Amino acid sequence: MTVGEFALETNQLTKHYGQKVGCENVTLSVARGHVFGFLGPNGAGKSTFVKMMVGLITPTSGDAVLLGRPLSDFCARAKVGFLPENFRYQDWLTPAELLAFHGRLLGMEPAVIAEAAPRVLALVGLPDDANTKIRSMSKGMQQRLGLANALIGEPDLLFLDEPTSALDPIGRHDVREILLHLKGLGVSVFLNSHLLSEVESVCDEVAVIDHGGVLERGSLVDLLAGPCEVEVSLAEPITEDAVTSVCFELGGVLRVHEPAMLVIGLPDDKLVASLVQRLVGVGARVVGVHRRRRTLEALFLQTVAESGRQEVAHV
Amino acid sequence: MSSTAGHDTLSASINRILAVTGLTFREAYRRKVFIAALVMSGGFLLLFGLGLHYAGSQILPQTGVADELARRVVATQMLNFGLVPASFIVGLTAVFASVGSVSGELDTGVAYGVLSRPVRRTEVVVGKFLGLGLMLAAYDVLLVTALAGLAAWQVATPLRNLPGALLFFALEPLTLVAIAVLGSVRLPTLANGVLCTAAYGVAWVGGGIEQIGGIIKNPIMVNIGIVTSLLIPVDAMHRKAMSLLVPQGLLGLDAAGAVGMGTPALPSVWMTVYALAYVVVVVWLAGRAFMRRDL
Repeated sequence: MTVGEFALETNQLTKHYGQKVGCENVTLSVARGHVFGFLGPNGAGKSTFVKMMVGLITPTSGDAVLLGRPLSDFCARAKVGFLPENFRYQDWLTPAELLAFHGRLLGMEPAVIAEAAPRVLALVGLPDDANTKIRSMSKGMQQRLGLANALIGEPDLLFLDEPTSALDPIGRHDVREILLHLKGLGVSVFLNSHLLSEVESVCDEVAVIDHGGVLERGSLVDLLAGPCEVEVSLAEPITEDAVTSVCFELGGVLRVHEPAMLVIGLPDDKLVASLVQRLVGVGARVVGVHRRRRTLEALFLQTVAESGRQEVAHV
Repeated sequence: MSSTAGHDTLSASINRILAVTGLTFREAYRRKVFIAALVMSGGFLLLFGLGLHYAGSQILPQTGVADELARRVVATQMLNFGLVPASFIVGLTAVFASVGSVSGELDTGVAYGVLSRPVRRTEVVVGKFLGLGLMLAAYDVLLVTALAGLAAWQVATPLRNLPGALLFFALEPLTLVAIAVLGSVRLPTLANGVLCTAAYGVAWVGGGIEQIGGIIKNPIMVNIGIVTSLLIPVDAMHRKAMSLLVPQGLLGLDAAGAVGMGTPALPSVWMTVYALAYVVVVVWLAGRAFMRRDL
């Protein structure tokens, strides 16, 4: 493991609760400045993993490095922010008081807290709520406050466990924007989420976990690459023979042939440009091209289903 | 954003403990615990003061040596009648305030945000203990001072060493808070509440058995009381405090007729040392148990 290259590295990290497996030999890394999506069905071990990372659970075996420090060193969490899935804060406090308390736990000077608190509250869309009692805030506002709280210490690594579960579509959009903003600042984000579209729109890398073990991981681009379908809009019809010959050259399959539209299956999404070029070469007047990519949802469902089949086969 | 993680120092550790202590004070204030304590204690002191006033109007005019001795005994017993329920009020308040100090925050999820910070769990436990313990100790000191002041004013109760007594009175809630915090890191709030309340009762019953054993010279009963005091040294501290507060003998004369209110069997100096060490060890155990717990 190279210290400094990664914000987070785990090696064979395992957590057992008696006979029950929480996480099993999880080895992964999150590059600095990357947004990492952690996917899995309910009970897969996602929250167990995050709880180990933020010191709430002690691993049974394996090791991990957070921001260059071993996981067992509680100072490693000095530059780590965390928004728990079941976020709850002292509801008799105000956001300003909550942030001041957490800032103090982080060792921040009062003057620094006084400067940082309004900034993070504004970032999450709560610029005028510093002195509102938390108990009078909606669940969505409290989730935004949780995000502000995670950001108060200017973290280099942020763990977000279902950060948009209580938010409306506007709130979800805002959180996506905030994550992209943080990524721009070089903050590494570890995102646990069931919302695959959310993960797909912000993450550089993903891992799929089930039954405590990592089933698939890699960059989003690589994982979603591969076979694809291309929808081609035409200004005027073209003969089926001409299209079939193009498909044959590229190893593709003509799926739909209509006067104004073709749907062609390709073995690799990198062949889309060649397809268009060859179609034009055989006289097609192409007015639109839409690549139907493999979605993260499809990848996730396929990975988890295959894992389930293997489990059944082993039994 | 910065990429340098902080290094820990003793002052940083103390700062985190004090942050938790301060939050505990603030919670008590915001949840109106102070106001409730003020109102109820005010009512209690008013009732006690009325009783003292009417008793004083009858016993103070008496003259003669025998009358003076009787007056001193009655005046001391009057104070004791106030201090025993006051001790129960403070003791039960200490238990109820502390039984959910950690478990309650784990149940609600509030603890997760705090414990994911660069903070040792022992610091959170010590911070909670200090916050609750200092509040309850201060409440006990104020209540006992008010009761002793009223007794001295209304019935001329002789006071021997009020400051010294207050130190031992303050140890009672500190001991109970320490026990309740220890239970709170391992047990659900309700179970811990039942356990601590029962333990408090056991301490008083054990103290009563020891006193009766002392009066009737039964060593087995005395030993039962000593063992109870070793397990939960609350009653022992109460008796030590009483022995310092009023002159020796004035309470003991009546002890046979008022079980649990007299002070014939006084705790030794070593019992006092033990009680102080007990609080420290129990808080240390609480921190240690919390460190090992998966949340």
